[in-house]
Amino acid sequence: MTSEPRAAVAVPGTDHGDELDLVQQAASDAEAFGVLYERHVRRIYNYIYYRTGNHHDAEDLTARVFQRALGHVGKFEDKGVPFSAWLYRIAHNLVANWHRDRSRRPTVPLEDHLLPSGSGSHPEAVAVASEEQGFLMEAVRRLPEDRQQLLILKFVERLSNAEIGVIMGRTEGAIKSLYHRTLNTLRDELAGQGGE
Amino acid sequence: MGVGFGTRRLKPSEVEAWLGQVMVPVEPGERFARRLRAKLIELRGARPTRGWVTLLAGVAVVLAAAIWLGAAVRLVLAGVVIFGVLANRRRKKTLSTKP
Repeated sequence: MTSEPRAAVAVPGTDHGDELDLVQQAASDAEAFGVLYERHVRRIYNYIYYRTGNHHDAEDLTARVFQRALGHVGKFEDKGVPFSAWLYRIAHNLVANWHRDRSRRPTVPLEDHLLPSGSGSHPEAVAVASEEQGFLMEAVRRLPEDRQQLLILKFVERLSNAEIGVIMGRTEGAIKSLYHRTLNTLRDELAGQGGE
Repeated sequence: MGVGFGTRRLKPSEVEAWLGQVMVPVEPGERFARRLRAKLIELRGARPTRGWVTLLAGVAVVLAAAIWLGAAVRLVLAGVVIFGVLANRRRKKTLSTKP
């Protein structure tokens, strides 16, 4: 991750200058923080959901992200990165702690299996599709955290490589390269697991 | 996707297509989102302003200093008293031994 401040690149749906004003107001104005919350809750929730795999933990961690953001929004500094990048960093740290705690106290979560799109109504087809999707997501969650974040930002948030680079603090070229390596790693992972 | 994973090695484009099918946006529960927003705004509204926090911190420091100072003065006084008692006893002993 680069340490130098970079020129701000707007993430879709936000204007950097406008958002900075809002962040400054949010330090003391509840409604301003409410606006920030509305803008970013879905993307943070999605990020955490795909990192944890279930809605219950996603809700719990999303709440913690915004509570922490509320407590520290007055310390947010404009370094040319969007506010969402700051929120993603908080979410990343909380999810990392969650994984660490979970490894110490293993639990069996009630997984929310994604309903396969266009699967039709045949129960067997639904079950098979659901199992395959679960298999894919388990493989994704075995990837390093930065690669998981890349996939979530690319597929769920539909951000471009440039926009992802701003959030992750890397160049567009680095993101493109990381993405291709990630696809290859995932392909090998799926081939290795599927053959067992 | 039904690509029959495990029977053949997928192409990166196939993995990409599969990811595109599976990793779709999910919506947080409406009730959860609404309650969290209300809770955050309530927290922000209940939070004391920085000025008051600074004032309270200053008062706490002054009180702590006063308590410490009071304790220090008492210790010094106790030391003086003990010294005086010991000096008095020595003087009486000296006087009683004189012929």
